[in-house]
Amino acid sequence: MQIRSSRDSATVCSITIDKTRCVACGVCENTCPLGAVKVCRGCYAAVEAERCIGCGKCARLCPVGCIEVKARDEA
Amino acid sequence: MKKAKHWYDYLWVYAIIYFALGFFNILFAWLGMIDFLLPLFLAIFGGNKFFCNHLCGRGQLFSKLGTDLKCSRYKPTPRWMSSKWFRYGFLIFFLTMFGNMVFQTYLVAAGAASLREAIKLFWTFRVPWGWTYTAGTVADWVAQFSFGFYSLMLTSLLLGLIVMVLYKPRTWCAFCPMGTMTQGICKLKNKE
Repeated sequence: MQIRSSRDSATVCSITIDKTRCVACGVCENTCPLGAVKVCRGCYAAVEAERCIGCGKCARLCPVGCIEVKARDEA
Repeated sequence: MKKAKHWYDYLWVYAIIYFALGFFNILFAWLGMIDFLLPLFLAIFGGNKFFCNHLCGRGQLFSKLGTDLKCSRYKPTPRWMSSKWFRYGFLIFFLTMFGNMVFQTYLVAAGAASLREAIKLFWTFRVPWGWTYTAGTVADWVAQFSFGFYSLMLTSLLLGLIVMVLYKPRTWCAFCPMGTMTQGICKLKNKE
């Protein structure tokens, strides 16, 4: 999933959530400063690409490590 | 950007109060049934994990201690800890111990066993405090359930604290039996 920074229009990073490993604990949802991450129907977390700034807070706190934030070269 | 605080963001205080109250009077252990039934109720009827996501005082406490008080090493949680076999295995184990506790309560209620005033950690180690209950205050089975349930809650709290220190603040959530159960219910309900 590609995400765009809210500060500029360039694609700055990409974020992936492994739905099969997500335990839907909601840590990412509560941590995200912009409310870009939401737990969908108690099953897994999903990111709203347009709102995510790729700060990586969710990935740092995710207890199962299923969130990956990657910087993109072309940013 | 600061997020707006809700009343339920302070439920970590309830977690502390719960364990403190049980320390002085074991009958307060019954309050823990809220943590047991509410997540199931919300998952079954709401099809969501609102409890885990917003109302879990224990999870919030781990976040407070691990993040704000920096009690966590922030090491990656071992992958096996969040694997399906471990999560469901731990759920089965926990439900078995819960069932055993309910059975002990039944035996006391039926008069087949006498009340055992003991708080046990990890189902083995007896906690050396004996002032939590005055015999005869309530029916023996009510007290028996309190001792069993508080032991279960305290054991899971300690497990959560250990993995919080070793790995990430909310590593407990990776294999929390309630979380596993409610996610399973949500997946079934939402056909995921």
